Amino acid sequence: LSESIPLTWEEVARVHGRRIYNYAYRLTGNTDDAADLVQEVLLRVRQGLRQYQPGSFEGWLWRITRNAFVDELRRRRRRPTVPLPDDLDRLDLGWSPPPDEVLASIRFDEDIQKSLLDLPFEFREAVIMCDVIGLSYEEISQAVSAPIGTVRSRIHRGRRMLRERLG
Amino acid sequence: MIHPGDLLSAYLDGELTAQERNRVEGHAASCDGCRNELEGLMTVRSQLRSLLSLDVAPELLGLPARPARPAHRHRRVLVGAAAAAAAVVMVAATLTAPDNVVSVSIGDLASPLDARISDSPALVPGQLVPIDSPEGEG
Repeated sequence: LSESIPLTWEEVARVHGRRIYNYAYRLTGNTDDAADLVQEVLLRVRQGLRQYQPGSFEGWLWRITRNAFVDELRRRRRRPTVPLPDDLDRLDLGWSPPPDEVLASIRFDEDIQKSLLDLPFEFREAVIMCDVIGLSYEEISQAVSAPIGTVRSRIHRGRRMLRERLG
Repeated sequence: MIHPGDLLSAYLDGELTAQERNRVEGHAASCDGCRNELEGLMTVRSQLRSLLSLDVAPELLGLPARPARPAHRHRRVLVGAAAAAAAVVMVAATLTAPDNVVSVSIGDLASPLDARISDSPALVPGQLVPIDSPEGEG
């Protein structure tokens, strides 16, 4: 697999910033948390890029992302924050309503998001990395520091749980 | 009969060896339960893959800001020359905070939105209508 390696943090931000943001959003269901995480990850990338050894860039980047996320979870557990209201509530901010097709997409999206949040962290994470971010099993294995067999099992069980919840 | 279990998901992801793939296909040919499970997994997999991708403001990433957007940003419709032919329509709608735009890609779109676009005097099929924030993955 040939992949071009971004050499500066700006390139990482430009090429991967949106993916990191969406990974965090899907894990938490919260745009503010996603914004915090993406900034923390880019800071770590900036600090770690000099030590980067040629290899799987995706595995490296997503391990940093994952570790930043897990550290943040630990920090939050020590200092709980007040949950934010549902995103849809914030639609009513003086905008006229979006077309029905868009609303339907958003509702469908929210159903899946809610079901995702019901999954245990390891399963949710594996499914998001595979199906939302599009990482290979090998890359996920590097990112979460677990054998490929474990990754395979988490993806499978995560999808089965989602299937049951979505009906 | 040993069911393939988590090989089913890996099968859909193209993550199996040729031997494992043959095993899954051979088994599924004669096992209704596993065929049903494959179908269910395929559905949930494609639902996950169709989740909206939230846009992120460049400033949030420490990158230079995009050019200023017009005040009324909701309900923009982009119709490209090729997109019109392929009936691929991008709808960008404001979802949460003012700076978060959700881009919804709808491929092979059927009638309702198409009809509305062609009814609209401002949008001529085949004409490229500028959208203020071209956003790509690259």
